[in-house]
Amino acid sequence: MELYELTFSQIRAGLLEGDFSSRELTESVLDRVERVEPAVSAFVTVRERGEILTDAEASDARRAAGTCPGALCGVPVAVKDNISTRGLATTCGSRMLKSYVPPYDATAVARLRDAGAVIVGKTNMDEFAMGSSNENSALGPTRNPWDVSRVPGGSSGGSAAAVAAGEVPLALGSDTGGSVRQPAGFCGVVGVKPTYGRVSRYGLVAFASSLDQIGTMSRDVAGAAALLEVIAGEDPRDSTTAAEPVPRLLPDTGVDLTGVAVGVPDEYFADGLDPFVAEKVRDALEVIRSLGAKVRTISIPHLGLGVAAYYLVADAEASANLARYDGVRYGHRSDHAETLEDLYRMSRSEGFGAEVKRRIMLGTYALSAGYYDQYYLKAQKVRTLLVRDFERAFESVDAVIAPTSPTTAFALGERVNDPVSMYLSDIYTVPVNLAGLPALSVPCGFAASGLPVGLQIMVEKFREPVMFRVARAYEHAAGAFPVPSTL
Amino acid sequence: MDLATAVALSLNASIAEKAGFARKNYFYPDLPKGYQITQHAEPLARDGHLDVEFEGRTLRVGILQIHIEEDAGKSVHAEHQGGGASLIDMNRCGVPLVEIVTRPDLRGIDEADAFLNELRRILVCLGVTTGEMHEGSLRFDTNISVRPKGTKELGTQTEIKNLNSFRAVRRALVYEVDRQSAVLRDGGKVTHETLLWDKSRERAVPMRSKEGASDYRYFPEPDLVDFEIDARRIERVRESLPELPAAARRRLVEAYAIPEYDAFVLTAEPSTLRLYESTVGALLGRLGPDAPPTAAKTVSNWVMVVLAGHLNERRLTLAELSARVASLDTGDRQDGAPALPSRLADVIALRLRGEVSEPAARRLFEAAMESAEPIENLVERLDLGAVSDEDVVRALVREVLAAHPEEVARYRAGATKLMRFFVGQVLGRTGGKADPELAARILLEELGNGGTT
Amino acid sequence: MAVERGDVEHVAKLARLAFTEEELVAFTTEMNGILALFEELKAVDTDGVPPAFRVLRRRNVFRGDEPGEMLPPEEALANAPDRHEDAFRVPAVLPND
Ligand SMILES: [Mg+2]
Ligand SMILES: [Zn+2]
Repeated sequence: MELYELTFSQIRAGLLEGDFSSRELTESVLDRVERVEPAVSAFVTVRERGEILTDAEASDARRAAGTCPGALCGVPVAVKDNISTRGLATTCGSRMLKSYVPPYDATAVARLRDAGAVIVGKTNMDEFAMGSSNENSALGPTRNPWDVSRVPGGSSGGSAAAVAAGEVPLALGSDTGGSVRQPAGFCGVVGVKPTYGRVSRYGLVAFASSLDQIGTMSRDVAGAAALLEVIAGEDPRDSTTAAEPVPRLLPDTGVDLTGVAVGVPDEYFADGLDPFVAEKVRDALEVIRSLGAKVRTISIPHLGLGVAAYYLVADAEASANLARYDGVRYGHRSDHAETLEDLYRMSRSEGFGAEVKRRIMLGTYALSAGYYDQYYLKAQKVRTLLVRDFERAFESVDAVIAPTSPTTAFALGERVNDPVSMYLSDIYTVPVNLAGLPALSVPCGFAASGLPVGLQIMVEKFREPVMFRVARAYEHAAGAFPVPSTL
Repeated sequence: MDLATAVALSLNASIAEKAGFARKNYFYPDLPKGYQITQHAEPLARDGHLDVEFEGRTLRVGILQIHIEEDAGKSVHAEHQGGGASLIDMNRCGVPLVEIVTRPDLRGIDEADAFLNELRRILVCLGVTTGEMHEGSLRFDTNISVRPKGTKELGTQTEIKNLNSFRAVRRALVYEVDRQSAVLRDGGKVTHETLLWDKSRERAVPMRSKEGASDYRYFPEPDLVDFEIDARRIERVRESLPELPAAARRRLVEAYAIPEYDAFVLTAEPSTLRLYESTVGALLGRLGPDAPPTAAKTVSNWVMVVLAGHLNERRLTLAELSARVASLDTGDRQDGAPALPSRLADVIALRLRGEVSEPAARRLFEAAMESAEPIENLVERLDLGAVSDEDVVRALVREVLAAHPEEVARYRAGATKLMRFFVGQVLGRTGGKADPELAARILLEELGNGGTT
Repeated sequence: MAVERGDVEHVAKLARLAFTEEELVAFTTEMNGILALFEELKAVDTDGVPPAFRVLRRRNVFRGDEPGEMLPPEEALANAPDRHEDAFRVPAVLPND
């Protein structure tokens, strides 16, 4: 077995035992990157090999000196390309930011560096995190490591593919409407969207401020939890971060689920759900029941309205958040503008791709005079109904479990010209963002197509430990996912 | 939030229980995010007023609302770039500011000027702003509408922004009132628009790029949490409010028996008021029961004339002078007053005791600002002690009269204005140390008795 | 209520986006398709339901009124497409007649 194939738990143990060094691990990972990138295209930027290895050696030195700052010390990590990294290009998958180099680190990145993680590079994504397939990247699509004719999901498709392909054991993504969980499900890795406010958004390029959260990806549950523990916690630079202390996310309790009540909402198993996906999810629920959990049927009555409410809220916020790309201070500036108005219009029209323009237009429309009440305000009220649906559910269950997506990874090009069908593929993931809840996607086997299926575990705000407990118990019973052997 | 609450309380406004921030969306190069975080549906306070003394009456100006928002950057039209470019300075972006919106209660330029001056005094007194308009710490946007004489309905208004001095406000108001009047006289219509004041060309220019973008698409700012303003917070701010200029003026007139005008000048800046009051205190301490009833007025004159002149000549602020005098201070003063008022009281006390003449006192003051020497030493070293011996002065008077027989003759023929000439001659012979009043009295006596002795 | 080409033009103007003739036509159709997805919200009874603008129930987050760290001007201006000294340069803001 090669070092790049190890899960985070194995890496952690191996580094502690001195079975291998961070340098050896990192070299294996970088060789893997070189080998599979031509097929997968998960990265936008890979740092210079020498620099990465210097960081790895520094962490080995700290380990030898007994001054290791924690579990991530010496572990290679990839960062989604909408999370600011000082001195390292952050393109957001956009022509607009093609040559943008942030002068500061996002809080999550600063915490990674403090923890001694080895940052490998920046991963591909749908432009400004707008998309569910990674096909909206101005730098070309990322491909699914399990089948390179398929999409990896999006918008954190690069991070999911990189982790799935063994290019890196851990990665950061961002989840506004499912952008960590859906690609994690499509690529067969663990993906976590924390409680809104759990992780600072400082330095995360804003898409929809009331929904955005930085999330974590790993091939095992322990890795996703360890990475989240490092980046979570209040940040004076983001006043929407929660003051709640960050608990130990992965409880020491065993792998049985006695005393855990699980709710399965009917509405997640309605029309549009791929029967193969349904079958895998139901199998997983049986495993969870066999571990001691009480499983019962519940209802999230407004699930079907989530997509409409989500796209209105997200696009309205995006229309404001993307107004800063005006060609004045950074980003693309048109060469052809003579007046200020031309500078705005031409820089923006040249810099943004089709989906981003579509969203800005929709969001602008939803906020404009005469439409605010009918669209934006209405969506925010429906959002309240979804919040209440989940509050009611959590009165009787500890976790809500459902499929992550209605289907497995679709083919490249299949939906890219049909925005409505693309949006509807987010139906199972957006409610959690609207309600600010934490959720996790854990792989639960392969559909008949040979593609991974994701199981989604949702819990109450700030109850991430429950989510990790259920996920780890299931993972323990089902076994961790392998790295695809076909690459 | 506390400073804005202080403003709201001082302007008699009702403070909201909940203050929410919203995004106001528009494109402008000095607005880096493409939206401004401001209070829209939920301003901090509404419905206040400010009473302004104006031409002997009280003018009540309604305050519509007071809200907090972030500042934008500064665009500078770059003439030297061939006029085709603007330069954007982002240094001020995101700094919080308080915006105060009045009701249309001001009639005419002088009322507006009186209101803005009073408002500025209050804001400076509260410590909300330094009031330095050239630094952008205080800015005014004005809305102007004119109406034909005898009509009641207010005409269409225009807004002029970018006014960074009181002078600019006056010039812009004059310009815009004239412009709108001319439009109406020619049978035209004033269009509602926002203009920028171009100070170098003394005219208002329409803000072209804002045209047609008046749909601000406000929505609640998701990057900020909700704010609740509880009664305790308001009480805490209320308790820490300083005495406002209007109250200070009333108190000064009453406590020190100084004219209203003096009180007005002395309360313009909190630092001036503090200086005045501690100087009076220190002076009364030095003079004890011998203090004349006009001592406080004398201090007022010194502050408004001598000290103000000194600052002006040297281009110093009061704070700078205070700091300089404090840095010289040897710390052996007994009165507990800060160095500058203590030093000023030293000088005025000597003058009121008649130990120095008025011109000598002014020279003594200049010297006292530059050195920490005990005041008596300074008087001696600079030889500024008053020549108050009657015999000495009388001898000098006789010398002067003897030296100017022609003038004496003209004086006696009725040219009594020559008294000033004689006094000047006497003072000149003492290097300004003789008391001019004493000199004048003796001159009168000597000129009256034939002047031949 | 269908969106018409004029609406799309107006929104494009507000958003400072430029579209070609063909893009405008195509986008009008596409926007109507997406808006149809939102129609289902209209049927939902939301009388008395407050909007959920902020889902994190945190209030009154203040910080001290003190200056913080600043980016040195050189770094703040490093990504500028056009600058002059410590300012960003753009085409004239005011008409220069
Ligand atoms: Mg304003
Ligand atoms: Zn220059």
